[in-house]
Amino acid sequence: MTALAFIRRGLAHYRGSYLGVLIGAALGAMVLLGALFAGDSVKKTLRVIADQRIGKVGSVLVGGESFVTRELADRLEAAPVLQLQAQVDAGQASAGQVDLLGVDDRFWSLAPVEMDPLRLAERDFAINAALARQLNVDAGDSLVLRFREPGLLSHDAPLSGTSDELVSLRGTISRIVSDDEMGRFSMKASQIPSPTLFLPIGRLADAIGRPGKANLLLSPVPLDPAKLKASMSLADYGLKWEPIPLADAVELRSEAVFLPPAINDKARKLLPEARPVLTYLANTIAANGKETPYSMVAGIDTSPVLPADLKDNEVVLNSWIADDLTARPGDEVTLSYYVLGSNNRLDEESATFTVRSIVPLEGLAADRKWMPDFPGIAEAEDNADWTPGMPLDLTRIREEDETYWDDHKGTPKAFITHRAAARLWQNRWGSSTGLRIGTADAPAGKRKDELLAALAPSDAGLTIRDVRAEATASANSPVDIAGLFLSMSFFLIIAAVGLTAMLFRFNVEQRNHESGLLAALGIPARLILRWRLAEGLFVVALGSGLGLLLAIAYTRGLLLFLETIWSTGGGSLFRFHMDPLSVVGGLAGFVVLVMLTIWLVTRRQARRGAGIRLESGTEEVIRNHKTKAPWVALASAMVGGGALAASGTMGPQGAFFLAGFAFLIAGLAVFLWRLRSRQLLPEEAVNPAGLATLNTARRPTRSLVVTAALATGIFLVVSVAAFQKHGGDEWKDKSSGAGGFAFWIETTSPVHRGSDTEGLELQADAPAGLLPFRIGMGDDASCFNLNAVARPRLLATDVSKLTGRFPIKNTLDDLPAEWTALKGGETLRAFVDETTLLWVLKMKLGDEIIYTDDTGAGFPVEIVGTLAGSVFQGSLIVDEESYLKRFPGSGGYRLFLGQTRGDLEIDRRAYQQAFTDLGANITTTSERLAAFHSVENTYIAIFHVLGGLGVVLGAAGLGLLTARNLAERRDEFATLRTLGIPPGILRSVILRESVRHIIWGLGVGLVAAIISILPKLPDSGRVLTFTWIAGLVILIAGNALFWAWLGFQRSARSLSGTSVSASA
Amino acid sequence: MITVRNLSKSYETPGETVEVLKDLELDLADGSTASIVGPSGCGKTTLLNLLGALDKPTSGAIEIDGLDIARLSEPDAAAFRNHRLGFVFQQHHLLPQLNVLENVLVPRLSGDWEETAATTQERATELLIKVGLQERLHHLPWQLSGGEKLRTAVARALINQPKLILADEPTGSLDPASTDQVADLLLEVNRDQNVTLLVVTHNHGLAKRMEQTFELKTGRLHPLITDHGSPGTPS
Repeated sequence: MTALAFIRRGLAHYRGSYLGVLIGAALGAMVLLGALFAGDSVKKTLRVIADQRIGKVGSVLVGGESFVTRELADRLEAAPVLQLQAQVDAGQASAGQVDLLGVDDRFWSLAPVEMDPLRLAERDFAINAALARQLNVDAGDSLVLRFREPGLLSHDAPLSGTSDELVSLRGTISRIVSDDEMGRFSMKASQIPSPTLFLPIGRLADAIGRPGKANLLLSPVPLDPAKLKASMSLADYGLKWEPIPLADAVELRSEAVFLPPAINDKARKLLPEARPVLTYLANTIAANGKETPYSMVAGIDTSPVLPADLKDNEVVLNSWIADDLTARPGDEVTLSYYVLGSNNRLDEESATFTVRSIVPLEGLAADRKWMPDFPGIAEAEDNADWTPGMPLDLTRIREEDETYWDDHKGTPKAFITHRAAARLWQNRWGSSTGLRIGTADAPAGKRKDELLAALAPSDAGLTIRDVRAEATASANSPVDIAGLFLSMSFFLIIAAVGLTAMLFRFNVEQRNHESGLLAALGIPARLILRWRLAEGLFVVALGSGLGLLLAIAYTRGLLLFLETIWSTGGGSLFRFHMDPLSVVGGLAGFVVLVMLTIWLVTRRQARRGAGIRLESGTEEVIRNHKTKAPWVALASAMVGGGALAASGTMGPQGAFFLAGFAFLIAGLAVFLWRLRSRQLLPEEAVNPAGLATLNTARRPTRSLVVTAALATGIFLVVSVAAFQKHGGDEWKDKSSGAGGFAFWIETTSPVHRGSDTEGLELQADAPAGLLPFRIGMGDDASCFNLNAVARPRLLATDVSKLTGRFPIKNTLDDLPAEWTALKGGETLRAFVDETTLLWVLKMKLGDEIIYTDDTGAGFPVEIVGTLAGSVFQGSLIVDEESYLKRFPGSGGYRLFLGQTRGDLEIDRRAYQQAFTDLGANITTTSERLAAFHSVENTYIAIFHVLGGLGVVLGAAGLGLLTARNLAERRDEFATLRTLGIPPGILRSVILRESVRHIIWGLGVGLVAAIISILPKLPDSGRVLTFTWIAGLVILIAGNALFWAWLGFQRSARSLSGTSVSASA
Repeated sequence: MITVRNLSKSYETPGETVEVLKDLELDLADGSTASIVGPSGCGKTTLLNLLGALDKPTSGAIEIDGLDIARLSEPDAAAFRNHRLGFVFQQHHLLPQLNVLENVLVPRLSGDWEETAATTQERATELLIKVGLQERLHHLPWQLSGGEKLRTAVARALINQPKLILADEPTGSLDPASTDQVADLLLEVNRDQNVTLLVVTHNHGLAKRMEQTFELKTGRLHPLITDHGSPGTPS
């Protein structure tokens, strides 16, 4: 017979007692592997989604609010895309914030899978599955798109034209595009697909008056900046040379009306002879008690029109306005005009000039070309048709004004120096509306190329994004699902391992005679231990294999649970995936962990002499020795006390949790101490309570294991339960996470002016106003986004209006804990929700994140403060004024925090009505906070399920212990029965033993847990928390009693009828 | 040759030290038989455990064939038991998962036997035939009577061709007829293989069949006159 055969026989013979070991191992392996597989599945899902999001796209030229020609796409061998946002209506249903993608055949060639290009007819739409689900539509259904036409220049800018006209397009759905067919195309790092509609780029470009233009170029290969620069034409920069025949000159102009500062500077450096022109609209030109409404004023440098020595405080009037105002040289003339104020409001200001001279309205002074193509003005037939995007009082326009417009259009009525004009009217979009240069000096040939060579794509706000690298990086979720579940399953895994080891030890003890005999026969102790471990290894490996199969089902269950957090419904989000490394590593790790535990609990038994084991029967042999328990209790209590004392510096929650844990250890040590020091007292020995006390102390290690499992279980479950978040009316408090605001309103189309916001307030009858925010670059970094977010979304507002609102938790030492801390500084300062900072960004105060500004240059955003549990989770809050210095092209407000008069439903309807045309998505701040809380509460719920299972296992251990103890005490009970002790007394003894374990376990666990949650007690949800805790305690106690009863019943049946003679 | 000199063994208990054996002396010649009798708790099993290298003495020396087994390390003691000693226990201690033949082969599991497995198995079979268990080779212990279990245990004690057999109450659970059969078997082995036989027993009938009989009393061995007429030496 070989050792292997011996092991095999042992396994077969003791299969019954090994069944428990097998089940324990299977359960533990299932939970551990399930955690790893959940992590694998999330990682795999994010990788697949990242691939689907960008398909074969390598890098993207992003225009933002700038547009490039489709010829540039040809030269770069890229796919041109025109991307806008729209509202989509489908009869009964509508969807806001829909990505509108104008595409051509080249777009489809970038799909993750090979596919024939979608041949979209002129009136065809294709939509992705997310939009189809949202609208509940299918191929053949009709849709209407509504969106705001992007301005030639930002609608934030003065003279940018009207901003409230909607473009509508109607079409029919020809295809629902799958995720593998670019249906998921998006540059946003999110696992949730954006609702997207595809249409021919030509139709969309024509609809917005930008034929032949695109604002995204998708390239399958990394775009070479040098090649891009070499391929750019003036049109791609939005520039053109405008002939000015009367001046025998040409003027460099921008589609965006104002020459971007970078371009202006480079062009002036390259063409020093070029003269800047800044033409602007004066609301009023007044002199001598008379006024002329709505007149263009040109600020120019040297020109034949102007005296060579014109001063900055002098103005030259044309003869028409001089007559209108009866102005003469030397008179004072006042110009009134709009400038941008805070919140992008248009504030009227004025300046006074002295009339230097009058020029006849002829020749160059009568040249209409002084005025650039201001949107809403240049194309107007009449003065009354102007839609300049500024408030106009049309009643002021006189007959003579209309006549002037008819005859001379936008010919300036007054001229000042460019320097004076720039001082009055330059804004963040520029200080010139053109650069004028004589035809003879105009760049031609080589100099034209030099101008192009001097410009950089970033001057026009064009940036290259390496979306492949971004997508790869984003797939590395900041949420370590495997680690999360491992930590949440920790107690369950330990309980399973402990139970497995305890059952294995029972088996070893059951075979004490065998071990003793083998030793007596000269089999070395190490060999015996090795065989025992080999049997254990086989059973544990088999159990782990079974656990692997169970883990597949368990993981699928976990993923379904997780989808309640991270999916928006409609199809399963997560793909089940097992990484071979997880399988091998997880299995090996678990088996090693269990075997190590088994080795630890059996090696002492194996070391005992053969003689002792032969004599001991199936009982564990406990030798009296001095216990260290009192010292452990004292040391733990001191640690706990120290943690409580240091709660000020450690932070209350961490300190109290540590203190609770230390007192848990102390309590268990006291329990062990009492067991070890238990002496037989005559008065105790003669009643059931005395017997129960003695029996509990009989096997102190076993009693400790079961009591510790119960105590630890209840400590963890209760202490974590206290972290549940509850909603309620806390949002009403200005210092709450909602800042006292009732509504969170995000719009598809932006609102550009503070005055427009006031209009919305009036429409909604909002009591204390809407607080508008600009939504800047970056991705949602809230807990709803599983992707790694390198740059959270920027939210910019006038932070002075947030004074006294929201819970500012920490700021950098040298800054006040106030919103004004965001103002000033060389970097752009930001506040961020501490949840986002800690768990998503994994950064700390003072850290910086590099963003890219409108010119394509990187700049740091410094995190200078944190907010506690705010509605701003996932974003960085920055000051608008500082923000606009980096993002002058920023287009309006798309987020509003709204207040309520008291009735949320009525106010919600009012806001919905007011925001109808903007495609608003309105939620209450309490809903938003509750949604964030739901993520944490879901984690806690998962922990409770897993921790609860651990407690059940601990209680099952109590049942097994009861059964085992009864089995080992057959003789004792047989003797008692023979002596005529009624069964009821025996049951009472056994019940008291179990209750003793339960009381100690629950008592120690509960006291420790309550210490750990002390800082949470003042929370508003405490009533619910205590109800929850009380329920848990009752449940755990009942569960433990049930298992003890089960163990008793199982053994009691086999004991019934046992007598001394039968058991001897 | 077994020589025991000044052998003492004591146990620490709370509050006191219990001296079980005190300056015990014993000499047994090769191939001799001896029995030890005494009241329960007098230390018979302790002495047997010490002679079998299952336990360490508090003081004194135990020399078996020139080997001081009191000073053996645990692995060497195991090797000593495995190759040179045969144990027969009162409870037989057959392994329930193994059949009769396999139970006899258990000592071979130490893995350092030089002879082939086939040779050992052949000898095990012969031993089992010799003890009358030729029909029971593949039976499991629960299928055996008490006497058959004891005979199996005797066969197991002989499988390593020991020079010394230590038997602890080998007939404790047997009826008088079976006791005689076991005594016959052990003495036959003693005769045929020149094995030294030391039996600890309460059974005076069995004790008297040994060449020498000792009574263990107050931690020392005292020779008793047996039917063979020779007292044990020395005490």
